[in-house]
Amino acid sequence: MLEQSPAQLELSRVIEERSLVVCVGSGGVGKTTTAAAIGIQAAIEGRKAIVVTIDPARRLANSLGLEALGNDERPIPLAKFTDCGVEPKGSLHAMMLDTRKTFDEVIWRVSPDDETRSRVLGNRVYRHISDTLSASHDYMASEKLYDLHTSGRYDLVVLDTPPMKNALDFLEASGRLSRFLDEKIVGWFLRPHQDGRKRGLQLLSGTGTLVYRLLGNVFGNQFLDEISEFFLAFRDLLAGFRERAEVVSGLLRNRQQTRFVVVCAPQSTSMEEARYFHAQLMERSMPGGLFIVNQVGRYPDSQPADESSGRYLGDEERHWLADRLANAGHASVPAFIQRLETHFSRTVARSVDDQRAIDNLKSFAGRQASVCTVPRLVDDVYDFEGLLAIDGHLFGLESS
Amino acid sequence: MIDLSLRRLYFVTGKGGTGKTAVCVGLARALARRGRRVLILEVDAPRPNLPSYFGGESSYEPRVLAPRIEGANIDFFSALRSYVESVVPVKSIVRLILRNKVVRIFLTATPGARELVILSRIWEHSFDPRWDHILVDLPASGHAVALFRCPFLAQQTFDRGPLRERAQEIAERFTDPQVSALLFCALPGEMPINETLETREQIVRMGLPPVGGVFLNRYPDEQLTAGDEELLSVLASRPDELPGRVREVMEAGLEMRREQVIADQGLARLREIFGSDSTQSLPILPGTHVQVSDALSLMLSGGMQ
Repeated sequence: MLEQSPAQLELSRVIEERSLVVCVGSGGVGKTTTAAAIGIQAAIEGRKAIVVTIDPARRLANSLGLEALGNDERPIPLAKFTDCGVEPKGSLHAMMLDTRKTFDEVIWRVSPDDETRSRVLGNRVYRHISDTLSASHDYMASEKLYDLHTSGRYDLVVLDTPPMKNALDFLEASGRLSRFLDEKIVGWFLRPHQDGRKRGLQLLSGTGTLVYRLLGNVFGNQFLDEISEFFLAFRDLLAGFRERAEVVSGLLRNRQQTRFVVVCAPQSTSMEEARYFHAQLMERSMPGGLFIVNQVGRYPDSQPADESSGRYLGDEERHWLADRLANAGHASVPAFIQRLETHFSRTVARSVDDQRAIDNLKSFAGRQASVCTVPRLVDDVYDFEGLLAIDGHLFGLESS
Repeated sequence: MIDLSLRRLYFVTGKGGTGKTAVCVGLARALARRGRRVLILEVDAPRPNLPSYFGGESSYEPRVLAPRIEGANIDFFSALRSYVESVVPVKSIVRLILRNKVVRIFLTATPGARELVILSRIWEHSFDPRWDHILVDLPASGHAVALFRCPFLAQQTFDRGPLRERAQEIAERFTDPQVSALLFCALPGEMPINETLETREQIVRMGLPPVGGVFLNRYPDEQLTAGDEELLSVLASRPDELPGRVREVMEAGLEMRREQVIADQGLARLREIFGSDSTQSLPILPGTHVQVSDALSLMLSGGMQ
């Protein structure tokens, strides 16, 4: 039995106890891979887990060895685990959020009748926005989260989010929708024409009418009509939407159920963003304080053999190397050894920088925060075995 | 070498963490060194990056960052004000529209409104004679594609009205090969290269801004050669015999070679699709934001006429 560090213990507790783990962080730091690795470990430990990516880059499929991921929940075959010599006590699914399909599904589910449904699905604005724009992407991420969380099919949802800025949008989306759907405001906007001559909207208050007319001048009357028609068509769906937005908003703040994991790399830009994100989570009362630092250099403690020259290899070691290579038929290799040493000293210097960055993060986040680290990997991780190896680092358990 | 002196408007995109801002700043410095006046635009950044390079606070109105370099962050509400002002000449009416709480909520929640007014501001800047070049630091690639689709979608959605007209003008200007080009930032590694090529494919298929080239960042400088690899493999064949420190050094060397091979493969794939003239590798640069962008600018100015 290997010993776990406090941070590894904390992460183990999180996947054992929580029902939602949200991975956030800037791009290019292995967020999607980390989410997949967390899902795998949870399945091994007995959870019914699903990994959801809303990253349009679609990397999760590769990482899990699936050909493709779609909007449907796909099981990761048991053989994936057993081929690597592990027997999962639970199960793992994965999916990629397809905004358009999720949007359509939501309309189907919440429409009270066929007429409302076809009115929404047939609206031109709906058709154009439902699969293209980031705002609708965020609404639907929140919808899917609600769906998965309440379905009873899973006891742990691991959510991968898009890079920094959009992750913030995503966190805001449910609240934004909630505010928008505040009935007073919607009522103000969506009061139908009283004489029924025109299907559309009329704003009854004096300034309201003026503002509406001005908006028409600025954005074009047709734009307003289309958008209004869109929201009018949505009117009957509002109660359901708002209820969900509130549930998701509450879930994201629930300390018993949810934990955010800030994924980052030791480079200064990524660390800055990790701090920023941590602060944002604190500000929003969302449960954070857990960091995973990827791509950490492995040689922070290597000391040069000769302090004064800074050379890593001693004379003896260099001779040993030259002899070994000479025996294999390679004569005169001092330049090679020199290059090797130069490279190594740079690698060590980078590792030392990484360590310093991690120490700074720890002192920034405070004693209650946990920081897990994963060493730098040269090759992209895109097979199951690689993900299990990451779990070895994250959870301190024996990797296969 | 990618020659940037030819066009006026450059959009820089790439996956998160690929060095878009560093490249933007490096390009701006390189152009400024050649006497060009440059504007760098960030797009609705909640936490703008330019202050890390130039100090000071970011602002909506362009401010001087360095000689011949100005910068701005186009936030949604300011862009909305600009758009409304450009259509409604009367200030008091503009205020009335923008102050209205319902209008603000409506526009925040209306998908596409944000994207269009932001693009509209970039479009306005693109005619401003104060600058010879405008570099737009776009959000990560997937969302950049969505952003560029907006003016096309708006044209399909709305038959007439000022918004449709503006969308059409934006689409025309941003896809004009005499004016605009899209630059990619990429990182070595199989998946990052795949994503770059996929995004390029999407962009080309949709007729979005013409592709101007790609920068491969964090390309390892050649320290160990293919010949060295052979020597390393001799050592690696019986690792148990190696003294501890030699083993560490050897392992790090092998990793370095592996990294080099992956980067070379990535570069070759980019060259094949983007063309050799439009593909440029940039090394791993240590140091602060300022040092990195400074070093980049020297490398980038090589190719400019």
